[in-house]
Amino acid sequence: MTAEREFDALVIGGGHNGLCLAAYLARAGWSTAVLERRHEEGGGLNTEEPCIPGYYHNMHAQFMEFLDYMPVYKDFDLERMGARWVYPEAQCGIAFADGRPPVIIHRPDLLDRTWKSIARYSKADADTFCELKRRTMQIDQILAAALYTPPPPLSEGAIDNPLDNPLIDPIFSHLGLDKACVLKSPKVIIDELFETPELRALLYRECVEWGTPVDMEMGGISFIMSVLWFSGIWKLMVGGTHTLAHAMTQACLHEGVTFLESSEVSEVVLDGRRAVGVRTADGREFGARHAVASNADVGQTLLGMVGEENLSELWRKRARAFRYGPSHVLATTVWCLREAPHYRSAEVDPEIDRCFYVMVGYDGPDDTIDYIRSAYGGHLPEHAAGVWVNTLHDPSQGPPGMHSATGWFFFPPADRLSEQEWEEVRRTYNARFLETWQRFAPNMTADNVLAERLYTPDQMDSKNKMRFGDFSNGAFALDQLNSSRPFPEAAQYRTEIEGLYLCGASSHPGGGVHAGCGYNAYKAIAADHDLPAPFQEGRIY
Amino acid sequence: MAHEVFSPQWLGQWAALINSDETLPGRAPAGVWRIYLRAEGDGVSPYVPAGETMHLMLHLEDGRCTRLERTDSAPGPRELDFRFSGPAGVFEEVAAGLRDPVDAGLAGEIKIAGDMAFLLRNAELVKEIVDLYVGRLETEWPRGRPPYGGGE
Amino acid sequence: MTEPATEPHPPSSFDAVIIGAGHNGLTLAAYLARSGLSVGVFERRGEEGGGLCTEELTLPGFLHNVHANYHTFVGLAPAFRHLGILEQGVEYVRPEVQMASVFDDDRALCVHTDIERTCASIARFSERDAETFARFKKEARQYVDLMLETFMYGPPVGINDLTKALVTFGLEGRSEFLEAKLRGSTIEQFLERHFESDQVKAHLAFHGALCGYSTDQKGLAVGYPLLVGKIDNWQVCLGGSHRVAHALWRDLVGHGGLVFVQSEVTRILTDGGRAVGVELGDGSTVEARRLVASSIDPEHTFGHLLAAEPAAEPIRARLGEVRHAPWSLFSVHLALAEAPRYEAASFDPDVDRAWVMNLGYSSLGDLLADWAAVREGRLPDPRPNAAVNSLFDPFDAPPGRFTGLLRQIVPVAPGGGPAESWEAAKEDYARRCVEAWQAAAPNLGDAVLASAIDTPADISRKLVNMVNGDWMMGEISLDNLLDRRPLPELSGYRTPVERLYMCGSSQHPHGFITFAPGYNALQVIAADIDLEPWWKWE
Repeated sequence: MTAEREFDALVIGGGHNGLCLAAYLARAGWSTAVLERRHEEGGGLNTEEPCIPGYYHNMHAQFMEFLDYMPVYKDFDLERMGARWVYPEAQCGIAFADGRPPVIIHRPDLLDRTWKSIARYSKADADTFCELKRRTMQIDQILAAALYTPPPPLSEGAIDNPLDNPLIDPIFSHLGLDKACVLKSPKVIIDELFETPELRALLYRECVEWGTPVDMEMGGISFIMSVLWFSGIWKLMVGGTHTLAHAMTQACLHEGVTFLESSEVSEVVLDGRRAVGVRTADGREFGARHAVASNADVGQTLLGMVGEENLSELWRKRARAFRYGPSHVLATTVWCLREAPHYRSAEVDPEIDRCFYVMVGYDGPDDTIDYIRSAYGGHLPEHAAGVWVNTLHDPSQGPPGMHSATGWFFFPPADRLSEQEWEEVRRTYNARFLETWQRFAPNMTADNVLAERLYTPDQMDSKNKMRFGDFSNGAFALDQLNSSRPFPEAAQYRTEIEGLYLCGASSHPGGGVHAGCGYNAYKAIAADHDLPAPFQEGRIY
Repeated sequence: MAHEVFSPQWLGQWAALINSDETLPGRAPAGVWRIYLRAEGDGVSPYVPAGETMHLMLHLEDGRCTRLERTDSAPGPRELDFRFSGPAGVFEEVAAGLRDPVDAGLAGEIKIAGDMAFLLRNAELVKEIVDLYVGRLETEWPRGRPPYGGGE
Repeated sequence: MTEPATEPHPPSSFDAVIIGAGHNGLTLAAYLARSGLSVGVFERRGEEGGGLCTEELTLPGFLHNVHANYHTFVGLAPAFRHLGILEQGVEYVRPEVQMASVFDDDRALCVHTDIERTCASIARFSERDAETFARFKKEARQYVDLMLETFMYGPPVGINDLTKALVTFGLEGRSEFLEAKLRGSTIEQFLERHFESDQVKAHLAFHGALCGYSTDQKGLAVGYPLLVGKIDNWQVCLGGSHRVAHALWRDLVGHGGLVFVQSEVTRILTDGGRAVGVELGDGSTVEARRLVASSIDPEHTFGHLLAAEPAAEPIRARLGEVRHAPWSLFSVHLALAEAPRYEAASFDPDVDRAWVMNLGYSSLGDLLADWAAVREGRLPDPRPNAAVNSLFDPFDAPPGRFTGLLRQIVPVAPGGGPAESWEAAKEDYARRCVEAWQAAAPNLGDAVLASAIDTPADISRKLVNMVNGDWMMGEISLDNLLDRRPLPELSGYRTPVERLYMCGSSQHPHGFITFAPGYNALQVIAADIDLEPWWKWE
């Protein structure tokens, strides 16, 4: 069969990792095409008007903590391409139904306000948190390097041992943390460092939000990343996260990338043990002279597109064994409001009403931890959420004077409930969450709500191929992270099929809008094909 | 006196005819209007070989014809205001009085490009210049006279 | 330690700033970029396209064209050959059975790409009409390029000049269908003059209605021959209409231009009566070194974006004279488990292969009754236009499923009330529209998986430049077309504000995916800023 078109490289999937990779490949001089299954690019960078026109909601990714770190942002001048953001001062907070003071983490340049907020409960905790935060930001480039560098390859027969990381000593010592923390779960570390229940409640959820299962043993490094580094550095894309996808796509177009929308890849075409192209579900074929890179999850890529019969027994076993969820399985709750929520806790500290992200529904750490464990255990948790009212910071996301709010529920993976059960959840869960919300913010009455929707893990799977709703396309468990992600033999972005690479969230460093998977995949392809390395002066990754 | 169709003398005759109308400068729009006639060799016309193109430029300045000549190539995009294009055979049939030019335009055989609003506003003038082409030029057809039979 | 940026730095200066990334704004932008200007296009919504809008309105995998569904200028608009649209990811299918009417007696009439088959279908209703149509199509096909050049892709002609020229060139005598009195005729009158069969006339009038030309408006017969010239050029844009917007975007960026979404322009900045830039919703400003072109409507442009500019006062004072259609479209988008199988297929099996469907208008009287109803603010009994793009587009629905569209002409608001009155009426009216389809194709009775409604109020909410749900961006009436559109002093694309141009569908010729307003504005801009018109004679 003759290929309809032939390119140097084909990228399967137009999510942000695929876009990142395509941009670098095109800049390196390769003719590059991105095949996107959906009718638009962006993947998890998705902004819709699901309820009422004029109310924009980010359906997946909400906050951007990596804009200052992600190489693709600067290398492709995404601001010139249209990316705009605001950087809210009050970043992440927790409010309480009884009107207790909120705990609010601010931007790192406003640590004194974070200190004041925590100190209402405990000066010691305020000191500890702020000092840890300060020291963490001092080494943020080193932490970023961990994301934007392929994990160290494992030698034959070796085991991926997080304890072997040579950075552990200097990092822990810089932060003043006991090295034994490496072995502990983030929850245990949080409990040992901080005495304030309210602060613990916030940090448990924050740990899980992007990053790490809170009970994951050997979670010390992850604690530093998820709780210390990521907290408080979140930017909001003006116009919604989709504008970042638009800027990335525009950057790709500027480099000459070809986009093929509504082009679902069903097969990687092989010539012996080499990937030479792809075939789409509608029967078109495209040739790849040098590389095919897949942004799709590893299961789909290897078992689906390559086909089990074309894999070695080892790879077949590995691909089948790869697990999705329960980490990073969310549901997005969507609200069109007359007024923004006004929290009882705002009586003490009005900043909670302008906080970028507010945890609602938890009265203490037990609530938060039970919530997380419930979802991870496969059950629908008690009604609580982290919510964003983006219109407070970016009025363009809603009609004048009105508010557009979204939130995340941690939900069990899609296969834990039946289709009918999910339908029932979509019909009823929001209303019950609203009752909770009203206890924390009395103005959150039914009258204040013009419309609402709930977007559940099963829908995320069918819309965006986030398997079972897992936006990382692979559980964050020690045997599926770093040099073992998705599995040791595939952790270097290459596969056992020559010319076939992995560039999506199933690879290191996982889900989240960092474009690290695409960037690292580029490094692997560049090394294999003598393309320019993407390092820039002053950047260690 | 008759001249070969499309010859410099024939064109000169046409220009002279246009300029013999003393009322034209009073009626014509002011300014320079550049008309490009493009006749494609169609394998039928013996005067423009197949695959070749005859380019004719006609300039009207304040109602006087100041240029009417064949050129080697098409004018640049800023060097013309109107283009009439079609197979050479059709132009020749019009010149021989065998084909009505308006019919040819309506039938899509001669394509017209340019500011149509202007053309319509100055319809009478356009008709006159066309009628001059059709009606009053004495033409010789040394290589064959339209209508052209098949297999010529 | 990384110094976090606390302020983004978007680009802030372009040669040309275009307001609105609908197809006209993008077309103008692409031409200007190819001419060497730096171009920035600023779009309020999250995606470029405007009326070229494709979304999953019902279920994942079902792509619905929210507005423009029918592409009839494919290959005819100059933009196709100049901007390489078909080489940039846009593919069309031209269905063999273009358009079909199923009448209330279960007979059907089909227009094919093959004229002989069309005439054979017409002949089943009237031999005489089949012969007339054959002559009409032949004649119209011959002068379609001339018509396009005269009526679409050039500055607006004056209707008096047109009539005079018709006489001067003796066109009346040469053409069976072109005559001076078209300017005083409705499409109904034109069809009555030339055709005899009720059904044939109904089909032909329906075709005009889909193009925005109402059957009962005096003078619209002038445009009818052009419509017939391209009656067989209805094309499906594979993957959804927004692919065209993406191709224009691609061309623009490939030549150095940029589009900014979620970037509403809130003010046109001026200096001494000259447009010098724009201000965005977040307060940031963008300099326009050579020109600003607005592809949105005159009310927003002059009433909001230039609210305080004295030079705009002559237009602002007359915005009340800008005319909008009293009618709009009510749409139901459907996710279907089956393709429709029409009862009328027993009369003519080709209806099941047809794309654009007339469900029920069986005579001119039917159409006139509906036009009268909508003009009086009444909801007509639904006789919707239906289309299932999935019959031709493998990308717009999951395998084995079909994306359906129903569209009905309606008043701007039911009962002449406010736009909000659609909320109470829409569910029931949508149900009636679907029932009309199911009556014609009973297999659809169980086949509706999900649906989404789009009322005229929704049109305006989504595309604020379509004031009052006016999808043609200005009433289609002979005294509101050509050199009168949208106001005589704006009809030439220039405005009283120096360096500000109008380039959208409120300009000549009108709405629909024509690429014409943007192209026509380009000619005027090129003359004003002395650009070499490399496209003009291609």
